[in-house]
Amino acid sequence: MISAYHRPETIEQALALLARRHVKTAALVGFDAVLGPDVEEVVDLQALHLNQLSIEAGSAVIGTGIHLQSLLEDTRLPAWLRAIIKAEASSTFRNMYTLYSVIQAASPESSLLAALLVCDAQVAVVSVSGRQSLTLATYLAQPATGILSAVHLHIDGRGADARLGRTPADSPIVAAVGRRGDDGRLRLALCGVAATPLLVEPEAIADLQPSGDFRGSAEYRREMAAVLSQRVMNALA
Amino acid sequence: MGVMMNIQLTINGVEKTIACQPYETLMRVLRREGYFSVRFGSDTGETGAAAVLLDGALVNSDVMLAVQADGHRIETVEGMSKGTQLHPIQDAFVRTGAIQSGYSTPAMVLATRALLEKNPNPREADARDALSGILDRETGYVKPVLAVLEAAAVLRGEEPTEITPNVLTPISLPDRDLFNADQGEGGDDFHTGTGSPTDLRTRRLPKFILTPDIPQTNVVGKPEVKVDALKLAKGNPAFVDDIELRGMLHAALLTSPHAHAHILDIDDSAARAMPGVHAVLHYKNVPRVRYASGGQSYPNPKPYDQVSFDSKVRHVGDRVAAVAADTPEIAQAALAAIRVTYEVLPAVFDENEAMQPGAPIIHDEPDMEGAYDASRNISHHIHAQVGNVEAGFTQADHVFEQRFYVHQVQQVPIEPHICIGYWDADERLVLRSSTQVPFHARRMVAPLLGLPVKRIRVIKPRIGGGFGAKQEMLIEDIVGHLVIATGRPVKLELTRAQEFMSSRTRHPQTIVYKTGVNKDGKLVSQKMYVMGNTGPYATHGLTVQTVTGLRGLSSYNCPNKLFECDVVYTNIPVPGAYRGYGAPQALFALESHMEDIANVLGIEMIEFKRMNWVKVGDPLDIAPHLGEGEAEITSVPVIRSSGLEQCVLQGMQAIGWYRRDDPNWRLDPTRPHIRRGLGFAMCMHGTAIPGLDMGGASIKINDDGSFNLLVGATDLGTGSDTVLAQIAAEVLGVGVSDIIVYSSDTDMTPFDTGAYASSTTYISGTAVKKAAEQVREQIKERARLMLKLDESSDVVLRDHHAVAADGRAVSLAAIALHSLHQQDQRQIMATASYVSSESPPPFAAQFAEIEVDIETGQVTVKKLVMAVDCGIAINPITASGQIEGGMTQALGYGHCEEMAYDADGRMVNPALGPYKIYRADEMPEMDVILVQTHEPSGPFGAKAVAEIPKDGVAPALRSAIFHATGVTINHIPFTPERVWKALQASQGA
Repeated sequence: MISAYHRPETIEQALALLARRHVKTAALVGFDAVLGPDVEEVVDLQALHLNQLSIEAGSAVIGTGIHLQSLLEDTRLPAWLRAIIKAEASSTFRNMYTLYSVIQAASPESSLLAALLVCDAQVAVVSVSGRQSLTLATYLAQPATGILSAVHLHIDGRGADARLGRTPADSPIVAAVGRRGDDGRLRLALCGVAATPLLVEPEAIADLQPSGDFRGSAEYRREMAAVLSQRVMNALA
Repeated sequence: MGVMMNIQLTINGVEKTIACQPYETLMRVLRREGYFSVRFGSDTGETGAAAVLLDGALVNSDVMLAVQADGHRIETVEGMSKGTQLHPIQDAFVRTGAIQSGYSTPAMVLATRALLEKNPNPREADARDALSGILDRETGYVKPVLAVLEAAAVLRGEEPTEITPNVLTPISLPDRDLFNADQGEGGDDFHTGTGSPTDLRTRRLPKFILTPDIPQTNVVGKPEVKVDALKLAKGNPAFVDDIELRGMLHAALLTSPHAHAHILDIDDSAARAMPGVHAVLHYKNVPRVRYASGGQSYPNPKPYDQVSFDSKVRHVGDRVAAVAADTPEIAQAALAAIRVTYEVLPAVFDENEAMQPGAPIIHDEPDMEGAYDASRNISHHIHAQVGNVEAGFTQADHVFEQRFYVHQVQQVPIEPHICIGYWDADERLVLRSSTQVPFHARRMVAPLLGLPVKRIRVIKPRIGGGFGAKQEMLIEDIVGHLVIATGRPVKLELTRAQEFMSSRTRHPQTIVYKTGVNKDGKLVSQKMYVMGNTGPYATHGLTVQTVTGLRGLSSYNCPNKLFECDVVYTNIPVPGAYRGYGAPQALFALESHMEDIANVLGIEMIEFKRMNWVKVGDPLDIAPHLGEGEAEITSVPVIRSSGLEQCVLQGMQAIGWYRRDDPNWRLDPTRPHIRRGLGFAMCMHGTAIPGLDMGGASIKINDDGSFNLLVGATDLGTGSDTVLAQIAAEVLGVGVSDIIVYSSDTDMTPFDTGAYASSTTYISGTAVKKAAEQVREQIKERARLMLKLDESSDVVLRDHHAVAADGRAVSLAAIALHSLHQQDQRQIMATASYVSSESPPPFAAQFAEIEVDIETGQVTVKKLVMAVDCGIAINPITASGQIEGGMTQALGYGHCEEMAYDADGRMVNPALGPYKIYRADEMPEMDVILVQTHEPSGPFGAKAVAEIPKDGVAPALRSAIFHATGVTINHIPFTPERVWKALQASQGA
């Protein structure tokens, strides 16, 4: 049960609160607070104003505290990316979720995470030992200690996605997201086939080892990964 | 516990400093502050019922800490209106009929406000997106979307739309051949949302076919605004949880983690020792009284296979213990401190396996009684026959046999089960409960608590949906025991996960049809065998399966019929009543079976069905052999009204049936993996349980000529209070606003069996009509006295007056004052009740348009059309709302909803996202057409409408999938992998 709430006004204060080893502490960035039962204290980062947004020349730097709805409404972002943001959550949750909460949740079904991956996302992590920049893929595989302050994206070129669910707005059973940048290179990411969304090379799809559940068996997910990837590649050919 | 914090909130423009715990949600704090419009639906934010505006943005206050809102601006609907003057958004929700139970209406109103402040000219797609965070099990989102568009128009300064149905022209076949091209409506701009807002507002109104038999009426048949709309639009405290009682304790339920286990011991000492814990109940300290929990008439069908707390658990989620404590947190901590020692037993989940030798025996307790064969896990065996089916099979030119499987789903009322109990001043136990059956609940809970019925009062306030889940005495006994144990008020509300696993669900079934048919397409013999999975408790097991047989063998004429059924105990969470009550299962199998036969015979599917379906004058000959419960039907019912033919024609036109044979339509050259299909299913349901369902009504006049209407009928959000008020108003010559409805309270209102079996309009409506007619006679008598007319003088009631033949009139207010105060004083009032020997079937034609992705198996439902003959629609807006909501639930049943389990019987998706409820922004287009007929036995010609929308979507989807791909699938839901595997198997074959 949560016994204390903190709203630090500096990132140093926040880091100090989060660094305490004797207290199970969780950071809140956004308004959703569905937390594990063992969390004792929360550190709300809303006063840190992690909501900078700069977009120029095919790249974007997005503060992790910006709510998804604000990103959706920013027409400087490409339409394909905004469509994926819209599909990520319902209207209420888009006002509550931030990039921080999406990255922290690391849901295998998040097509937005897949989109960030194909945008060559670099995450800025601030910790007591300094500031570092990691690829999102690296961060998802091994989350670094500290506060995610911003995400740097490449948004040049064209993007496309293909998704499969029980209904049009269902969390995807499998989804493929691709971007062909101005450099001509295709980036492809999948969700629903591993513990987190992941970047894949098209020829490696057959080697995926997804877990199955009631919405889709492992075999089905692997087959669909190939089908949906091909559709994305066709769209970006 | 944490350290109390003071937070600063600006709520509806008023700055407040509020003390709260750091773990408390914003919803909890707002409700504590009196903002009751913010409502609990889940603890994950998925229902959206607790949505509020935070700095103008819609957020879920149930997953947000109150302390996170410190320094922010909060808006709730309490701040949107003054007195009875509604905000234009609230007014739009009222006028368009967008409010059913009203539980989530405040959230929808706020969503609309947030949208319109950013975008005053929204498209339909914008409205749907704005509502996407608020789940609705009642309206199908049709009218809420209409309300958003209407509110936008009014706020832009446009004239309000007149909300009346569009009247269509009846179709006659010789004039129009709907199988030919260039007829019908077909697709439109629904999915692109390109239509103008005004067009969309008009297009979403229900359609209406008039009948020449329709009686001339002033109130009945009109789209009257719901009588409870004002309080629901304003978010007034109307629901169970919306009261505050001093010293109320919070109850919590400990449930079984095992599907089947003996409880060897419970050690509650640590829990009892915790400060703030006032009671811990379990099998060791609660009397063992056997009962059946299904909310049904006396005597409840056996077996009585439940007790309040048992030493054996029979499904994951079964009751183990309950606690009452000062706070929810202490209650949860106490549950965690209870030590339970289990002996885990083998479990069985499949109805086929449960009947096999060697299967675990679920009811082996020595005091078990009343089951058909508990040693084989069979609670009931049902047999009913007309003619000789075996001889029929011998005579038939063709015999077809098919097996179908229908799965388990949950009703998902947005308001979970909740009950608050307390002792009143007379030391009588009051149970304020979200129940469909207050009178049954009182009778059934009494022996469990050791109290006489007269010491119990059950009050049903507004209910946030029920759909059958609340046709049960489910938690009232726990609350009663805790009130008795503590002497304090106690509240128990199920969590969303408990609503799935510890409440009630729909029965899964295995259904085998065998049908003999002649070359000309006439049915000769039909046998239906059903294995119904009733989980570990029979509750509604007998009657649901009986209805399966009744519906499965009544829709088509056939001289030889046989129904065999085993109702089987297993270890899944308990099935019970769910809107449709056995019919959706039957109709999926029956309609699919009939279509497949037609295809083999080479007869056009609708023509084959039309050849065989029951028509006016046909007997429902299996009915007397399938009486429900203790009711006996001694005569063979006969169809006295049917608009089915017109329903089919109207539906064909609305769906664009002509496209079925158009190869250019069925393929999409831009998407070569897409196949399009159209499907059809006919539906026939019942109206109340003949000889069993009884409704009572009492009407009395007030000083101003208004009337109190007291009914035991239970409005779940269906609009029945409004419909009953319309019936009373029609008879008494007044408007609906002069009828003050109170329902239902076991102390205050006449008896009613409750809201189930599509009975309220037909049964309770007739009771209201009878009571109103008696009051009308008393008013006439008083008018004759006042006007000095003789006893034979004709007097009619109209426009709030009693009018004599000579034109003189006296107002109802004057009559009331005269009667109550001036001469030969008496209270003008009457009570009437009604039970019917008939159950006139409503009919419907259900159509579906879909796309199938043949590479993935994904089915996308593009449009649903339902044309329904519900007799005379007392209120076409509420009737169409019932159909839209019912179709949406049926869509979930056929397409995506399912309770999924691991190998140990634990539900793996007990949350609304993984379970998958359709959202506003992904709904197919829906079209509703009311094809009116006059049912001679119904009040003003009415039949039922509540349940038939559940019957046809699943078979229509199967039909459309077959049309699109040539693949038949006998197992719902049509999830992507299931369809993909069928497509793969088809290609392999």
